[in-house]
Amino acid sequence: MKAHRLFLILIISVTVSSAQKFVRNLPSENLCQQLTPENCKNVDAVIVLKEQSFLIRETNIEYQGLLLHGPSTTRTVIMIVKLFNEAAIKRYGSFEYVYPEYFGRDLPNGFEVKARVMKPDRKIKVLSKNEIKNIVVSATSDGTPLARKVLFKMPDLAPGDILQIEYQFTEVFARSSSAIFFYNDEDYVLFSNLYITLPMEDKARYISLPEARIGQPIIQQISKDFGAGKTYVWMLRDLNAIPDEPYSRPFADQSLITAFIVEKQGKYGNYQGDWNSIAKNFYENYLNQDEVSSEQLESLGFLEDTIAVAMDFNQVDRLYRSLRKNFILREFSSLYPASKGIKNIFKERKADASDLAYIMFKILQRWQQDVHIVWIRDQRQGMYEESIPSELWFNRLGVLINIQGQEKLYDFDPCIPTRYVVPWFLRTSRVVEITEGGGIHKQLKIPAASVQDNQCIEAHHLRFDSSLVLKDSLKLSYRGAFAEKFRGEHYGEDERQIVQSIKSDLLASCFTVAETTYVNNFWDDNEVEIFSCGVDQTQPESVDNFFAFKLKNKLLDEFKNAIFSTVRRSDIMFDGPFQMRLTWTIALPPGYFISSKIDKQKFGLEGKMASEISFQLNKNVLEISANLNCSDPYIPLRLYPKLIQLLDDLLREINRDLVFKRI
Amino acid sequence: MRKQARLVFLIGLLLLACKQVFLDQATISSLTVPETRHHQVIYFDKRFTVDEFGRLTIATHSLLQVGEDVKSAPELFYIFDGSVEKLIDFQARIAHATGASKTYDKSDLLTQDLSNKQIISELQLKFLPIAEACSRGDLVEVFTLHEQRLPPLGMRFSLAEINNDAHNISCSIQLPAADSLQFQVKNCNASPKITSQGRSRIYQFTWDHYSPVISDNIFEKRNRAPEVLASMPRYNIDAPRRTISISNWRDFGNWYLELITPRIIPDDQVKRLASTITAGKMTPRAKMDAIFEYCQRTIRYEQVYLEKGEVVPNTITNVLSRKFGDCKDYAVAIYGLASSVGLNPHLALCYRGRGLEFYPQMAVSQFNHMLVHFEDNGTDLWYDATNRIGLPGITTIDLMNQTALVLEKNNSRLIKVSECPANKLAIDGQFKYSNRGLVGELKISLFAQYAIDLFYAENYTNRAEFIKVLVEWLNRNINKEIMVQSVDYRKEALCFIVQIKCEIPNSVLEIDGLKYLSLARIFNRMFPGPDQKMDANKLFYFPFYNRVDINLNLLNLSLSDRPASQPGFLWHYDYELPAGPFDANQKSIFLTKFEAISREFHRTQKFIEREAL
Repeated sequence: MKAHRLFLILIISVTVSSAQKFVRNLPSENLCQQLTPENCKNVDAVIVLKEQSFLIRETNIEYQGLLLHGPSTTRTVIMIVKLFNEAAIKRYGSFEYVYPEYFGRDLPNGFEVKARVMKPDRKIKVLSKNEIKNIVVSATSDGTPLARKVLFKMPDLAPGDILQIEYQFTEVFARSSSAIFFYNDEDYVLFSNLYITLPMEDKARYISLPEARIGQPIIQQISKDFGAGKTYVWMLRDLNAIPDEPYSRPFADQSLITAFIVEKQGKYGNYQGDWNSIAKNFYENYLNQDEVSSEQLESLGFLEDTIAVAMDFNQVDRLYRSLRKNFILREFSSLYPASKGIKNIFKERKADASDLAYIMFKILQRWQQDVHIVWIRDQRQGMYEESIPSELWFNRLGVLINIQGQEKLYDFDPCIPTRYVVPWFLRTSRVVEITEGGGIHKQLKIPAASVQDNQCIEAHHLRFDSSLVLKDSLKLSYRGAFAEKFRGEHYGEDERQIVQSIKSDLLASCFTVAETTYVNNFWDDNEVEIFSCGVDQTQPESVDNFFAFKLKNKLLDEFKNAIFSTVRRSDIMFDGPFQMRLTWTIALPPGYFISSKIDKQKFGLEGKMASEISFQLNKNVLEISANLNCSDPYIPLRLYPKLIQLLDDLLREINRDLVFKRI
Repeated sequence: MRKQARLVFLIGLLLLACKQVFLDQATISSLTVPETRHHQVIYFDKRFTVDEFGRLTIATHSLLQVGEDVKSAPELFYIFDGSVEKLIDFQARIAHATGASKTYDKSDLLTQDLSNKQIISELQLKFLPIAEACSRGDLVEVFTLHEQRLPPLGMRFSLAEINNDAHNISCSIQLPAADSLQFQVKNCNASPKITSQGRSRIYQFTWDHYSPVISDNIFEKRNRAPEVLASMPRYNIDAPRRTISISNWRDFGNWYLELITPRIIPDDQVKRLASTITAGKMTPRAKMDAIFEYCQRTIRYEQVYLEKGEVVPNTITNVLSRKFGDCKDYAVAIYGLASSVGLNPHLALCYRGRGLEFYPQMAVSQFNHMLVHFEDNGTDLWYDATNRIGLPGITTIDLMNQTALVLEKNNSRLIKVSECPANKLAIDGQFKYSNRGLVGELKISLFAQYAIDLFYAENYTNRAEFIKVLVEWLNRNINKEIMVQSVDYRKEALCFIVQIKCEIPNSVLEIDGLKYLSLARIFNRMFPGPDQKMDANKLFYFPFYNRVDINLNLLNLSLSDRPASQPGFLWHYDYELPAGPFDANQKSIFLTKFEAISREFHRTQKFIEREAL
């Protein structure tokens, strides 16, 4: 939204701070009595009211003797929450809000917060202003604030209380041309209200998804401010909680939403709130700036005349790799590239994903390729809604190149290796291609992933030493989503930290001693490969002329622990079809033979998942393999117990005793 | 006079701040280090300087050789700045492998305030964004100077602080020549080189090399890195009128009590509240318990660290009106209320977390927690309402057998927070054998200190989430593979009881029709296996439940050598082990007991399947 913030400094006015008066009343005794842990089982809190309001209005501020005039944006949030337990108090009893200061100390943005608590006997305690801390969290070296943080802890809070927090953030001389509002929350919401008031001269479009559930707004002239338009009001009730669960759809995809898009911005511009306008605007402001020079290109290892006119994807891959290798990639990125400062980026050799995408785009443009910048919203964030044209959906840029009719998307997310592969989180994503003329929605033509694309393999080679201590030589291989997650988890760590972290994991799962551990150069390679030797956690148990032991594993145990819950609330959405393969080869100690009865076992989950465990004896080597294949990444909530059952069944078989008998 | 002294001190700091501190080329060239592609600290010097008024500054000077993975910036680029340790000066220099160099000072530091939803504090993280400018082989030199605003806390330097491979390490303590230093060196044999410099005396400890290591020995202590502790020889509490020496724990206690006294005196409102809470309670113990219950129920755990709040508690009045606070605030609330009704409680400092060796010889802060001590007819009782989970008179398990400094004017002393004799993990089970393993019911009762963790979890989650916590607890502490079919739980005064229907898969080993069972097969997470290293030299503590009572009823299994008329098997086993930390004598007692218990726990017995008549 940077492009559309209007920093208009025209005429002056004074900010008026409101008195300690709450906008909304606390709930009635009757309602409070109905909201009990007994009536609301297994929840920490109920949000009685979640109210959001968004207002753009004309403001006048006096600044160094001048009267400045322009539109400012005020966002108000009201939360009234019934707290059932200490978890709810932890969640709502402490308040934190960070906001930027665009004009330092000169024209500070406004933030006000009020809070009160109603005890079960309906006594009300209001938060003293002395308890509220407003601190500068980041500043320039001369102390000019760049961002502030407001913090407080609500005193005297206990389960059974009703907490009300109302806060208002005013961005001085800034406005946006679109905004998205979510009605749901982490906890169940009884009433969720939304108010949007734009300037009267603005022409805006309002979109709600799903429209049938949200309904039409009430439209009223509420604001008495000069030039204020009508207020659009939506009032919803009984919205389900959307807690953060492993392998669930992102919050934004689950929540009910309303958005507005300004199609024409009153007297301040002729902005058109459609994809074409915002894409065109973005192109002009961010993609048509600095160029890459031939010296800079040379510093990446490319000479202008070495690039053939007819390029192939190997050359593009080489360029991608060179950019990844020559620049330190920042972990987090903004949608807006530092497109006016390519020289500086080359000097510092540090860039975010959008900066690198911009440089790559400029180089390919220079080489006269059919190339475009795209806006990326990947599957980890969720889908973007085509009906809501806004940059707010996206967090980084990518590069889409077309060579002889074949398109390929390049992304600089740190989870992707420098030898480029399309990551799981882009496989089914749509992108917006940014052109001089506007924005085009594109569904990438990437072949659907198979279980082999997202694969992890755990291979144990077990042998007994002379004193029957079980030594394990383990190889772990991650491909696709598994490798990408691994990279994401370890980004910013050096090799020693990564090895130490792997060792700790192995000590928690299958080793008691991790002797040597090695990991491949997975930042470059497509696969992550880990090799480790150590002493296995299970040591043989001798009984008469037998001994027995159980197999240990890392991946399946971790997977089950990650997904296990006693109250799963949402459908499961894995990262794609995937496969887990576990194998153990065991060299039988001399003088022993295997005496366990070993049967092949298969388990399934309604065609979505299948697992199998099998045993085979080859001469003196016992080979055991267990596979878990998930062909359909979507598992509806109703199948969750069966999924856990399947994992338990497979783990039970893996953990059976293997018995060896002395010959 | 006081102002003058302060001025002299500040000028001294300023002069030090203005001084170029960087190592000269000859010194850098003389540093010998091995070749590596990783980051390594090739020079590290920590210098504590005590001036004649007992004020303390801490200078940290390091030289880092940048490895190939530039994006993983070492922590040396990050500096804390707070109200207890105040950053006075910062200087840095990058000497590029190419020969170019650049220097930085305090004005180049960026600031990140560390206050957030969890903690409101005055602590800031300062950092120099120089990772961007670094390449492999560059040398980054960083010098920081902090003023310790509460010097009597003592001087402490552990090599673990470097958190990186390091070479050419030194720690110096500079004192006025008139003072002598009390110090202890731990986990190594370093002894100081003592030199004189003007009117100062310098004690310098050196180490050639340090490498952080992850131990796979779970019985080993955690603070294993070489360490130097030294107490303040002299501290000017109210310059120049009163100078104290922190040469023992009594001095330390006096200083700390004096520091916090303005915050722990109850006002009339507190006194009235105390009378209300204890109304009808006849004995001192009953009154203490009532006050503890009130504070635990009413005050929630929150961290607000303003005005040296990491060390100094909030006032009693503030804590009781806000009804939130951290451990210190809980402690002063209990202390204030109890002293208001004529009881004689004491605040006590300790370290929360097992596996750390406490060094009683040095009056240097080794604490991260505060609670209340109360002596009742010769019995030491501990009141710790932190996190609203304590039981009256006893602490959480992570304080078991730790050393606490009980604060009392002119009588502060170290006392062991003894393990509660009522601690017990009792397991009663009734199982039937099936070809999957054992299927049946378990009742697990956790008594006293053992129960507190579950009281805590239950307090902070809703029922469904708590059941998940319980299942995870079972997997971690009882059996890794246990499959839980249903769970119920209840709380009693000193006990948390969990009842489950479950399957313990693969717990029975079947060979030729015989069933083999050991307690270790059924409870594979309760007791360390033979695979766990038990190196007597490194043995420090026992991080498992150490008082256990097992009663199992195996309905359709009986010992193979028993007559058919005796179906079923009642399996009883109980044991008790010292928990540590161990001294040499306790270590030997522990090892003897441990081996015997381990044998029994892992002893496999032969059963046959036999239905009850």
